[in-house]
Amino acid sequence: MKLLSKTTLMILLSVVSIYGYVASCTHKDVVPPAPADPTPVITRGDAVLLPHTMTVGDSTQWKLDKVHSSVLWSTSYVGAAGLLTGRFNQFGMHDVTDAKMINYYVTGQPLLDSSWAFYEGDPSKTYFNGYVQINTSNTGEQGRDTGCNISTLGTIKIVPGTQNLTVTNIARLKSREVKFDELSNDYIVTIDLTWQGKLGAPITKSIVGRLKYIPKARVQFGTSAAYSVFGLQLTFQLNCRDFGITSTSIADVIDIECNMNFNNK
Amino acid sequence: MGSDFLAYLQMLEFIAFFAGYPLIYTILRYLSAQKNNAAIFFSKIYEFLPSTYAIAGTLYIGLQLKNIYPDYSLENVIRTIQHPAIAIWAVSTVAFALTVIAKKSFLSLLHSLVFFLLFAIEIANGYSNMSTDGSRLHNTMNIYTASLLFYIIAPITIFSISRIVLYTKDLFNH
Repeated sequence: MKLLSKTTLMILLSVVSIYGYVASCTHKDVVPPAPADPTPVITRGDAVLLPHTMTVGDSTQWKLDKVHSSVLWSTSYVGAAGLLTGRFNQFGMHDVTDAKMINYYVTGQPLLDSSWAFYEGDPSKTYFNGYVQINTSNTGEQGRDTGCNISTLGTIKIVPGTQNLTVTNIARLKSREVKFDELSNDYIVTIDLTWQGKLGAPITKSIVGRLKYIPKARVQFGTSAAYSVFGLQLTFQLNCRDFGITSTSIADVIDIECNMNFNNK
Repeated sequence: MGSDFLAYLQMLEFIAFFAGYPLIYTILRYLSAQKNNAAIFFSKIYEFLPSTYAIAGTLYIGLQLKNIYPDYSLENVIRTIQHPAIAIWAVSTVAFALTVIAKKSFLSLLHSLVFFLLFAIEIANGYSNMSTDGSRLHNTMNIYTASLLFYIIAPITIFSISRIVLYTKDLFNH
């Protein structure tokens, strides 16, 4: 009792408390883990992939597998809401000159998809040309695809049996420069996009996009002959206002994704 | 592991509500025994310590009722409470709300030393496990600090309220 009646207990309690604080503030030295290597791992091969004349059966010539390729677009609805998306049903990889911008009365590809070359290890030699038929925009909504989309994009409805590559219905891509992306396996591409839109004449805008190479692989199904495939994916953005598109249903910026698959069958 | 963790959490509750009391009690007791003007203030605060201790007990009971909610069956209470003997000891702090017991403030010190002992054991455990989990001791000390702050702030608040009540009473009487 005498112990408690004096300051001894206070000192004892204080010592225990102070010890707790000192112990809790004492840290043992911990060696931090080494920082991660910020250098990206980039591996590139030296594949050279060319279409030549796209002769069927020649495995050295690569053909665009249009059936399994796509050109997709997306933009936010009214520039503020979720995405509006769609695809272009008709497209190709051909350098469509002014002289070739006419109607083709065929159901398949009107021009050979051979205006491209891909050099995995030497992008200065890589090039490509492409086009889409604007009136083949497909959102899955018939009312939009044959209605407001046609008038909004300044073209005319699809005429069955006709591939419309006329000036009001074609948007063309031409690569100007392809170089390595220093941060990934991809390539940075400068492309010229030529489209009339709602303007009086076509204009050309220079755009920077990203090209991804999906490496060549050999496949075989069942007893059929084996063949090889590879893919190229081009992504870029365009400002539709540059081409006179004034619709408020879509945002200024349109995202485009071109997924091109090739085979050597 | 789940049960161990629950037991640890309930140990922290005891520390949070009661472990800070002995140190504050002894310090205030020491300060109020000094011969200066401040000692008068400290002695007034010191008088309210047992009541504060009882309030802490009431708050503890409230927390346990909340923890057990909505199943207040005996079976659930037994299953939930990990340290029943200490919990009963903690609940008994409300007895210091009775003036007869509160006047014997020394009893409250003896009563609360049990919780301080738990805190001391926790420090020892925390320090021995420092190499694997240093945050445990750090956490315990944070809880203990909160307890100390409670026993500093609460009696001062009660004292201030009592002065205001007395002052108001005087105003009406005159």
